[in-house]
Amino acid sequence: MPGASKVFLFWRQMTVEGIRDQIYQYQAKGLRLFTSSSFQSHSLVLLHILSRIDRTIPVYFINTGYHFPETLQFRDYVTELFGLNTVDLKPEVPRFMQRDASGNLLFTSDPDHCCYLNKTQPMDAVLREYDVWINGVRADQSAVRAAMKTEQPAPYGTIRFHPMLDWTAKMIWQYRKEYNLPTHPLEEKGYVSIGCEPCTRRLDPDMQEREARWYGLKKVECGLHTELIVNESKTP
Amino acid sequence: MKILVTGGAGYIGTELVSRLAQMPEVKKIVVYDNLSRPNYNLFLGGKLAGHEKIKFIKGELLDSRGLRLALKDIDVVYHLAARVTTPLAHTDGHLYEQINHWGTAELVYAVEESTVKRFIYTSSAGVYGATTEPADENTPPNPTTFYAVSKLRGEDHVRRLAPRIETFIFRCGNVYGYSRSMRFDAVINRFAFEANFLKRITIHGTGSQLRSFIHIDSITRALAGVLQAPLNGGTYNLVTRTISVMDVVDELKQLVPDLEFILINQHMRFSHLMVKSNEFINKQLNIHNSCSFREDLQNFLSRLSF
Repeated sequence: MPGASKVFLFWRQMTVEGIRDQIYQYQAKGLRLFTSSSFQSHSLVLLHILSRIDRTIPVYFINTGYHFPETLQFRDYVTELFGLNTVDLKPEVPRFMQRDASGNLLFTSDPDHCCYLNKTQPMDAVLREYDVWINGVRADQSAVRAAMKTEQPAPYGTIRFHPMLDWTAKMIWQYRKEYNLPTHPLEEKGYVSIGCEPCTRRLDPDMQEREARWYGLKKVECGLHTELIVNESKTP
Repeated sequence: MKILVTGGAGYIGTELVSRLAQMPEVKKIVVYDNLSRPNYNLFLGGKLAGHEKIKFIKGELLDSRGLRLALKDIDVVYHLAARVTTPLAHTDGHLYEQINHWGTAELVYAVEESTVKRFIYTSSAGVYGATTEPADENTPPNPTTFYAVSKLRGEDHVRRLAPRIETFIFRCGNVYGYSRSMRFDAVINRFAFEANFLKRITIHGTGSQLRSFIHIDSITRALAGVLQAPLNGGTYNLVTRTISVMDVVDELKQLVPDLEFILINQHMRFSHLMVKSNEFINKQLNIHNSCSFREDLQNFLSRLSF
């Protein structure tokens, strides 16, 4: 395999061994690590890899309060199956203070604000407590993510570590198959990208995958990967 | 036993709280209600038996923090609070979602962090939607109104509790009969009011639509009975009668001889909503039709002031 090494499959794609070594290096320096997960089927690869490396690493599930019941059940199932140290991260702002001027919940008029209160703001507080955020973003998921690097600074001096950045959908599929990882129960009902229920849409055959979230809006990211990151010019 | 009742000042809640307060095993009752219907009758009429056990919190389901505080040391939750309008719950879908779906989800999240051991949710027979024969608990739900959709989505969140907490979901029929906190939008209650005071009833649709009902005393007895009955958690129908709207009118005509009725939109033929009584549950919870429907109505009319 051209360019293959112990750390990278190609010049960028990290192997499980490479991920493990990097995590051990962080830990050897005394850095505090955590990861976050949406517990979708494709997210399970990173969780499974981490469970093989160190099951004590906290896995923050951003519980926005708007998840499908199926996602919450799947979270509990996977937590037990992998033996994870899952932490339920809830918003600080009570739901009744998340209504707009019309009295409707914010997702009906200002999804950015809704994402901020329920995802970005709670995660911002977590960043203050840790040194390394192991984050499963992949470059092939969006233009924003394609512009990221494997290691990137985040607010409060935290490092974002993106071990899956250059894994492809095919690699994810192969890993899931090899380890027989479970599938989110809504996938068989036609959901491909599963987030908060109000802003998730089951795809019709003529729709693109990106339209599974915030359908009809220009919005493609919730803010975790645009606000909780320090952007630098990408290294060629 | 310490109990929290959401919607405890409402139509069913008022009667349930009054009954629970008289049970010796019940040590404390927290009424959690936002008084969205400005009905204060729970708070009036002199001291209730067991009144010293009752505490009131004016709060709403979406107050995540308030719910967590209210649930401190609570053993049992009755979740009755909901946005309900009848007839024709077809407008402002978001508001039903906000309260009945997301509000229920919020309560479930708070319960997950609490010491609650038993959760009782009053869902609706409306989740079955239009029926051609009586629906039992295995009939796939197919709700057709915003209200019923939101109640069913609330069920999905409540059901998450089942592995850890004894969880009861009751799909209740249309409730009728006298409560200290009345609802006169529910069909039989409205008919009784109009028959007694106006001598003229207005009917939606053809009147031939069948509906499943339960008397307020029966549902109150059933809900209180869950505390003692040897029942496993689950999803159960809670109905005692299935009759047509016109059957209600016919019975009222026997009691109010000069009664008239107006069919205000008889071009609309509404679907039936028939739900099968669960005889096992009704027996376990000691609910049955102790008198005829006409006697029920007679008793109701006797509670009206003139």
